[in-house]
Amino acid sequence: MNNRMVSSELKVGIMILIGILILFYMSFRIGKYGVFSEHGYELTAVFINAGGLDVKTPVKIAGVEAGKIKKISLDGFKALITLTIRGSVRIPVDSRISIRSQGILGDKFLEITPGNDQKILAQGGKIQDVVEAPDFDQLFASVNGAAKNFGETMGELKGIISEKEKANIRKSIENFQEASGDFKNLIKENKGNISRVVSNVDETMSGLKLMVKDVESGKGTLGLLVKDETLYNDAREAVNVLKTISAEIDQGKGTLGKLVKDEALYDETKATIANIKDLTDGIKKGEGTLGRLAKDDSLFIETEKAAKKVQKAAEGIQEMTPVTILGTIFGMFF
Amino acid sequence: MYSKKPINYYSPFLQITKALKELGSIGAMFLETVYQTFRKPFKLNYIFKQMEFIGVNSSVIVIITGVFTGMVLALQSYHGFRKFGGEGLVGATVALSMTRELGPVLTALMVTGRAGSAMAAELGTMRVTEQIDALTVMALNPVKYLVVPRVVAAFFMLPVLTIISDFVGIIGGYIVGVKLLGINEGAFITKIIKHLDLDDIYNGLIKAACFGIILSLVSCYKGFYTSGGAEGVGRSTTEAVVVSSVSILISDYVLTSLMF
Repeated sequence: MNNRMVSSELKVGIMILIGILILFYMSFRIGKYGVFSEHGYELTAVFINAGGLDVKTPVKIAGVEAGKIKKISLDGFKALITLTIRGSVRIPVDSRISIRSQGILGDKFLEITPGNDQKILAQGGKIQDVVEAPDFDQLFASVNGAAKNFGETMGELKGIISEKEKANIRKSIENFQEASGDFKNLIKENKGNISRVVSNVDETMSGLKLMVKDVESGKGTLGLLVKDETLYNDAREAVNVLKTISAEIDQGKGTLGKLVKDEALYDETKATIANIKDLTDGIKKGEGTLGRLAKDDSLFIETEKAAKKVQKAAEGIQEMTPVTILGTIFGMFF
Repeated sequence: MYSKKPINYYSPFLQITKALKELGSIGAMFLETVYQTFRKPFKLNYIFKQMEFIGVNSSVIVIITGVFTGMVLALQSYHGFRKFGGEGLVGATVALSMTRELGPVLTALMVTGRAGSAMAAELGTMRVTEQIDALTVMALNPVKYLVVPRVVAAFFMLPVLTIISDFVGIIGGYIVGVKLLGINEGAFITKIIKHLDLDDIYNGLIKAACFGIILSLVSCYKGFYTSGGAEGVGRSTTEAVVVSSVSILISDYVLTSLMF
C-alpha cells in the first residue's frame, strides 16, 4: 500500500517536472529579451506617421536586430518613438532612421543606417535624420492616377491611329522592307569590293598599329619626339640659360647689360650728336673748308672751266685718232 | 433528493427547468468542493492517486493527439501558405494554434473521454450501490472524499498535459514542415519565436486549468446524482462526456474572448 502510494506520487512528480521543464524551455526560447534582457540604452526619434509600428517592433542595422521599440507616444501631433538599443551597439550621431517593411505583406520594422560621425548617441539621445515611410494608401493612389493617365494616353493614341495612318504605317514598313532588300542585293553584288575595302582597312589599321607601337617604343623621329627626353631637357637648359642671361642683363652685367643699364654711353652719344649738330651748323653757314666747299660757287665755276678745257683737248685727240689708225694700217701693209 | 422519479414527458419548459436546476446544482457542488478543498484534513494521497489516473495515464493519448494535430496543421497550412509564398509562417501557425486553442481544447476533450467518463461511471456505481450513502452514514463528507481529489487533480494536471501537448504538437509540425515538406528551418523557428508570445502559452494553460475544473465537476456531478441502476450509470456516463465536451467548447469561446 505504502509502496504503491510512493509510486503514484513519483509518477505524478515526474510528469509535473516534465511539464514545468517544457514550459521553462518554451518561455526562454520565446522571451529572448524577457527576464534576462541585455542591458541597453534608450534613444528617441520623431516620426510624422508611425502607422504599422508596435511596441517590441525590432530595430535593425544592416538587417540585424539591434534593439526594439519600447514605447510609442504622441509628441504634439507627431509620433515619439522610444527605442531600446543593445548596449553593445554604438550608433553615430548622424545616423538615419527609417520605417521599412518586409515586402508588401510583411511586418514593418525600423532600420538605422549608421552615419560616419565620431560622436556616438548616448542614453536619451535623439536620432535627427528621420525618413518617413511611404504611405501605402498614398502610394496606391498615385499609382492609380498614373495608371489612369496611361490608359488615357493609350486611348488617345488609339484615336490618332485611324485606318489611314495604319495604311501609311504599313506602306512605310513595306518601303523599309524593299530598301533593305535592295541593300541586300547591293551587298551581294559588291561582295568582292567590300571585302577588298575591308582588307585594305585592315592592312592600314595594322600599319597604323605598328607605327603607334614604334612611336610607343621610341623609334623614329616621332617616337623620339614622344619618348626621348633629351629634346625636352635641351629646351629646358636653353630656357634656363636665357633666364640667367636676362637676369644678368637686369643686373647690368656684361656689354648688353651695360648697354641697357649704364647711362654713360647714352650721355656720350648725346654729346657726340650735339657735336655733329654743331659741325653741320658750321657747314651750313659756310664756315671752314667744308663750309666753303658747300657754299662758295667759285670752285664750281673754275672746275667747270677746267672741265671744258679738258673736253676741248679730248676733242683734239679724237680728230687725230683716225689718221693715226690709218697710218698704222698703211704701215702694216707697206 | 437522491431518489427522484425519472421525468418521462419531455416538454421544452421542463427541459429548460431541468437544465437550469442542473446548472444550479453544479454551481452548488463547485462551491462545496472549493470549501472542502481548503478544509482539513487534506487527503493528499487521494489527490495524488487521481493525478496519476487523470494526468499520467492520459499522457500517452494526449501526446499522440498533440503530435498528429501539429502534423496535420503543418500539412494543411503549408498548402494554404504555399499559394502566396508564405511557407515560413507554417511554424508560427502551428505554434499559435497549438498553444492558444488546440492544445488546451483537445487535451480537455481527450481527458473528458478517458477520465471524465471513468469518474462518472465510478461515482455512479458507488451511488447505485449505495456506497455514497454509506459514507454519509459514517459522517464522512462524500464531496470531500470523492469529488475534491478529482477536481483538484484535474485542475493541476490539465495544464501539465496541455504544455506537453503544445510542445509535441510543435515538434510534429516541425517534423512535417521541415523534414517532409522542406520548409526553411531557420524561417520556421524564427517565425515561431517572433510570433509566439509568452501570453499565448500562459493563457492556454489558464484555459486548460478551467477546462479541468469544468470536466471533472460535470463528470462528478453526473456520477454523483446517478439513479436507475446499471442503466442509469451508463446514461450518466454518456451525459457526463457530452455535457463536459459541450461545456468545454462553450467556455472556450468565453474564456478566449475574455483573455486575448
